[in-house]
Amino acid sequence: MKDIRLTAISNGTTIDHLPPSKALDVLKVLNIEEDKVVTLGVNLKSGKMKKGKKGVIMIEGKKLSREEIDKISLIAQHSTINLISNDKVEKKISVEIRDEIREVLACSNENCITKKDQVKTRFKVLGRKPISVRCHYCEKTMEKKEILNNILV
Amino acid sequence: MLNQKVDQTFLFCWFVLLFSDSVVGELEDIVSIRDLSKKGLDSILVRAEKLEAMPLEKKVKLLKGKVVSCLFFEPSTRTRLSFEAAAKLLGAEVIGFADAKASSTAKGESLSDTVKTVERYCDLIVMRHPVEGSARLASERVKVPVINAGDGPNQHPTQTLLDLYTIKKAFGKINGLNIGFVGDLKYGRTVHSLAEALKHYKAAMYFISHPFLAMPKDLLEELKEETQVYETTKLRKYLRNLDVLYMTRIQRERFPYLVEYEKVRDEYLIDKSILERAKKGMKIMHPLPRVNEIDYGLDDTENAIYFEQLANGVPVRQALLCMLLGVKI
Repeated sequence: MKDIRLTAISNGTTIDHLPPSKALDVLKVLNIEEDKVVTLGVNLKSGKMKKGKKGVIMIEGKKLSREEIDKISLIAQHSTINLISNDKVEKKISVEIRDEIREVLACSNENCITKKDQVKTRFKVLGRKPISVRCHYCEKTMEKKEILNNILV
Repeated sequence: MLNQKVDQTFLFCWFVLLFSDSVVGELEDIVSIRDLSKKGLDSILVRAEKLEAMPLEKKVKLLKGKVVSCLFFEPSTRTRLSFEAAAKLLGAEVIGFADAKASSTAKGESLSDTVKTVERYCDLIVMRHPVEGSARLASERVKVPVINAGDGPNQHPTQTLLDLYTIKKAFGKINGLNIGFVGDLKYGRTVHSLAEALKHYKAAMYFISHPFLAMPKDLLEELKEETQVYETTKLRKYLRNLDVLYMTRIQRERFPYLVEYEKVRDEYLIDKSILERAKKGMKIMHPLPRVNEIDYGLDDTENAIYFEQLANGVPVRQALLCMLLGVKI
């Protein structure tokens, strides 16, 4: 198969080293305005990724917020975010799950106070491999599948 | 030699008191048993003991001039009356409601607004609410201390504290005891919270239930890291080992079919015959109300301590009221 190369962006954000199957999931949870130029690459060759393939998302003219980086960490921890400014990598962030996740995840418990009152959600991270979190309010534990289904868009 | 021992004892007591006072200062709310360390738990139990032994005329002055709000958004007999009695016996005034219909919640007021209103009239809020996490939210919305008197199926920390106090009173210790839990271990919040607290005391735990109502796996794994844990469906299997048999009610609404419920319900009934195979001095506890799981014939035996257990709610809740309101005992 012909080797595919993506054209680098001048200003914006590149999300690299995504597991190929997660690239679309990451794209869905980012708040990308309609006029932004987005390049998505899936199953690109990678020397770093275990299966030799990776996903890449490049967004022209966008910088990610803390919440957006937290969302990415829940879907694809260990991916890399490069903030590009004037064709140069201004900052490189290795995506890791924080000890506490705030405002990016909904609680799966319908009887949780966060579903009834105006409350910003908070979750304590209990484990990273596999990921599990506990709601700060109702104390319900959520595991990988529930977490991925409850990321706020 | 004797003098040396006396000196050591004096020093030890001095350290305990010094430490206990620092715990008093740290406690701002009682929301979840997870928030309490072993030292925190011990500090509450010690104060409950002191309060139980304290003459009424001295006790009734401790919270004079204080107002305690009891906000019960759902029905409760034991917890509400026990909190009200605890506060009144310490000389506090009690205000509040026993039904959400009697509050502005019925007009659509949010919980945040209700507690922010109530804190203007009182020094401490005791709250029971059907929504999980409501007590945590309330504690973050107000400046006065909040005691969680039950937030739906989530936490009921004062029940756990009175359970610990009951065990300590019965055996003089909690460390190293063998505690068996019977009944609804899947949904029973009292079992989950008590098990979490008991792990601090290295108590061995025996979980006896129908597989449908077994302890949640994640909680079991957490407990296994700290202490010995056994699971069985047979009530009599570990009976000889147990110091405490903690019974719980199996609730009909947990089962999709009535037949399944009836089959399971009758698997874990106890009567006097159980004592023949039990360890001598084994105590039977129950958070109450019971349905049919404990035969009335057991009530008058020395083994049954479930009515003492509920009475212990008063000194334990008094200890919490005093500690959260900064009253030294």
